Amino acid sequence: MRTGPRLGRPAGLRQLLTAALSAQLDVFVLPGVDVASAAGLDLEAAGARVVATPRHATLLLVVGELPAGLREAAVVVYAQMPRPRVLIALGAGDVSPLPLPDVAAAADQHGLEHSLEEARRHLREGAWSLEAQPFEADALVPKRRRKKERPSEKPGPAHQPQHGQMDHAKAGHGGMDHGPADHGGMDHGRAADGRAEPDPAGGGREEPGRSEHAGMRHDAREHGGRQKRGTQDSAMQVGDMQHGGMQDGGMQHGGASGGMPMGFMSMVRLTQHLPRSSDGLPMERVQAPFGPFFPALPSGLDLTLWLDGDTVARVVSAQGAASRGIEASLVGDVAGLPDRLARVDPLAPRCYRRLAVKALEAAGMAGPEPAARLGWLAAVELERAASHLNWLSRLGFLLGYGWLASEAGRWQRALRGSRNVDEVAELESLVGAFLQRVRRTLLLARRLRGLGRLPGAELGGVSGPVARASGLRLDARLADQTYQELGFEPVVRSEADALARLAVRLDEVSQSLGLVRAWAQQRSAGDRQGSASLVPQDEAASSLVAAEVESPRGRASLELAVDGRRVVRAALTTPSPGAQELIERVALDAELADALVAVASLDISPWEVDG
Amino acid sequence: MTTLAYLLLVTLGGYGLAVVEEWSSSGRWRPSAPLLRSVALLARESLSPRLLDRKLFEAAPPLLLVAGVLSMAVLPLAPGVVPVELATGALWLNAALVYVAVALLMAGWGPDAAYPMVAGFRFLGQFVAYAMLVVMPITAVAMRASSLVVGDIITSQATLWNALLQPLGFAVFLLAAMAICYLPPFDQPVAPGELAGGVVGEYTGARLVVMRLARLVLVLSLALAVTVFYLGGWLGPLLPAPAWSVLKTLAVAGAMLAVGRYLPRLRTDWPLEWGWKVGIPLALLNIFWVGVVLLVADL
Amino acid sequence: MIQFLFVLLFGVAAIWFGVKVFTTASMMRSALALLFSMAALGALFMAAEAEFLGVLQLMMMATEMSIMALFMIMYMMSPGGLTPMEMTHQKRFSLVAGVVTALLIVSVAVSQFREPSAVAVAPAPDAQLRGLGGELLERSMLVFQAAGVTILVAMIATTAVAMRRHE
Repeated sequence: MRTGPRLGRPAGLRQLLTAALSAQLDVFVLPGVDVASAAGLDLEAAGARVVATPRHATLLLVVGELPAGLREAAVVVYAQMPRPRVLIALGAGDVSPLPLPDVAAAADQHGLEHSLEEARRHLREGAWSLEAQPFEADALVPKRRRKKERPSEKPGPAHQPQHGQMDHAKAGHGGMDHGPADHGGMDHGRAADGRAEPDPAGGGREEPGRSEHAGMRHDAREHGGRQKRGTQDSAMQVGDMQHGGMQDGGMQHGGASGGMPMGFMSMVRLTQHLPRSSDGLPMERVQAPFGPFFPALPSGLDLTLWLDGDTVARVVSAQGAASRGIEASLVGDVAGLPDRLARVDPLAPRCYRRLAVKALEAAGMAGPEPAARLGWLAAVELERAASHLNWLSRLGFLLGYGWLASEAGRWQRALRGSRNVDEVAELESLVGAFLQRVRRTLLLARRLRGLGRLPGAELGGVSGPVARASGLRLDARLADQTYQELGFEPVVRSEADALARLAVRLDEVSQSLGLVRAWAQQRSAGDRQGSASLVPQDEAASSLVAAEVESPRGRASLELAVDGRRVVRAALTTPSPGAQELIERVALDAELADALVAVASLDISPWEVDG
Repeated sequence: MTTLAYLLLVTLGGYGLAVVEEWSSSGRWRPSAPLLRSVALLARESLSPRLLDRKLFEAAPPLLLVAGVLSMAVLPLAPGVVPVELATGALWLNAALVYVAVALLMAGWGPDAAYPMVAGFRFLGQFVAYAMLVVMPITAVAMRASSLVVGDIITSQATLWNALLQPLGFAVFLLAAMAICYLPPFDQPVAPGELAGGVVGEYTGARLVVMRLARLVLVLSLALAVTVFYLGGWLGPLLPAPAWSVLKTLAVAGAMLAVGRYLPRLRTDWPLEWGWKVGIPLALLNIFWVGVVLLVADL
Repeated sequence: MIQFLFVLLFGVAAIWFGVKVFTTASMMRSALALLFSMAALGALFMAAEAEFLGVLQLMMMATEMSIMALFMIMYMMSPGGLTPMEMTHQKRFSLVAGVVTALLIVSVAVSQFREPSAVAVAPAPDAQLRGLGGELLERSMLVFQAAGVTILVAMIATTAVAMRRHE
């Protein structure tokens, strides 16, 4: 089934157009640019241009294995792309229910460049085809019959599929769904500023399945298509009829059959009892999905926001969308444990590898040394710095701060790819200068100050930079002898807002590079391998051991029951589930942009949230 | 001759600006990119969102383009080289630019989707912030020229450019101009990060080309307006008049496009707050200052 | 002749958009139709060589109608234009008022036409501007200054009243 090309005969002018198309490739990355960067891919260098919405993309690039929970959203994203479109899978294996990838390669820079070339060839040769078919998938079947989306041409027998009737109101690309898909509440949901079209209980909007209807009382704008009204609508209206005195049955104020009733209606009186958000205006709730592939949020984060105009009225963040059953897969051969554990978080694999090695060493076994020349501490600290820079790059993108997005990405790639401590030493001063410039950016501090305040006392079990920015001196590295010998002292701030978290992470980047340098000096002074020094629970060969490590996002710990050469039981705790629970606290009642920035400042890795 | 000069300016200048804009968003210089991308967009199909308001959705890009083109119609490149000579030229500029807000409102409402809707209404908020700040500096500039005719405004700067005489007005107008063509850091309506493309996000294919082209025309038009009102338009020593106009315009446009790369996006309420609490008093001060200068110094 | 055609065209457009205001089912479209009706009027003024008036009409009306669209959607409980909305009220009264007003206007227009010599040629746009400026700052200064200050006071008062509610 060829769902990529447009329907038509490849003809002269069209060939010219597709030549241009293939020369400038617009890419939408799944699950997200952060995962691609963490894998070391430099898209701009390979000649592709990353776009923010699948609507503007020609290529869909899937990097790494897509968890089952995100496949449906991926289908929606693919369906949203205008044709001709090419699907590239880098190290992704089976991507069904997406169609078969047009190009498949390994997830490294070489594989990327090769696949982009292949994609160009695909476009040049196959952008137009008489065999083009519409893309159908279960996830796209609407719950209710709706008007179909209309492409400029009709591809054969069926129409272009409707964009994700997000029954889960989960628009692949964060609700880029035109259409009600997720606008679930797009009820008349317009006015970012004040529509006294209140929905007191947030009423019927809540059930995800009915989300579209929710608003669709009027079936939003089906000019001429008023047939859907009928029962659902009247049912809906009951909910709205609450503002006092909806008079005669004929005229329902409340939106369905509009029209003002005779007699003077004081809007103020009518809307008095409605719940008001923090800006004081009672408004219609609009349900907008912001995940799992929203470009500015961590990839794989499934977030749905109910917007009351501009303000976030309700937050729902489902955990486990990106789960791949890793914890269960940890059981098995001891030798393969580090590799299995490294799959947990594509954003910080070395750290988890180290965790596995540490646990095994605590059980008395020697684990494989990751990068012999670098040594484990350098590997982990470089990854920490790279992870923070990756986060910084995404934050820059969210904030519309182009320079930050590109520069942070550049340094992240440099650090990730550095192979020995000399390279790191060279980079240290350059990165330091970059960080200074970031700290001094005009308006950045003002933008972030006061957002997402999380006082330390309310943090619960959260660790990592979030905790350290709230004044809590929590760091798993404090318990590690190697770090103590280097004089490690965690970076702690007390303001507990997004700016503090940014500052903590910036400082930690410098600190990590400094640690690498100090450790290299120490190592060359005495020829020692850094050794794990976590206190094991039990020294016996068949043992129960635990180890912990400070990942870029917080404390990660592993408990193993080892029997001989097999791991028989494993329990993994990661920092992100705790952080994800904070989302509601920081986003609720905030203005939309502020909410997004606050959520981004938590640096959640949904990959670690293994449901 | 006039039309030719103008078309040349629009195409070449606009193309150059497109390259600068590309750099501003991605950090890379790709000279052939704008051409390729526009042609490529034509190769893509034009999708319409499912439950859209068709008339608004379709009408918004052309309206945006028309607003931009019309606003440029009263700005001269050289003495006599102007498409339309209006006695109220300076005001006409503002009148045409208001339709930018209308077009974006339509584009936001049309697709019936959350992101464009929020983006469209945010632009309306931005509009409220900059609307006064466009007209008040123009008033001061017209005061000096004693005329609303754009050509007269240019010739009145023969002794001293307005940018030097009325620096407050220059700064205010420049910022307001950036806000009108929603350049970063004022790019709330098309925020790629926060709103996944905003009002432009739902457009594909040919309509997207029109939207992008319209924005370029707007930037060019506003840069030309800044040049004409504050930098002396075609006035300059050695080169022929049109060359000066073009050079100054491109310099201003380049600056406008480049600034955004180094600043985070402004929060929605900042333009409103600063525009009304700081901008309007400054603009009023500017008018007062110009009045004093005209009375006293007769420049 | 061409000028007359354009005047006619814009006039018809203004009327057509005006009708659309009431026949459309969408609040947003209704507001925008009014906007374009006003814009057509502005274009009509320009075609009738009342340049300043035309430019002003175009500029101000677009601004005002955009804000009005916002308010319409805010206050009308049925924002979205999907269900057939009854946009007309007090039908009998408005019908009568409309007919009476139309007759009045037509009679005024016709009565003026009976004396073609009394119709002066419109001054050139330059002269119009100067004339307007002179009028504003000489004979009608008090009126306009008072109006301006009144509007400013109203704006400030509205803001103050709205803000107090918050606290």
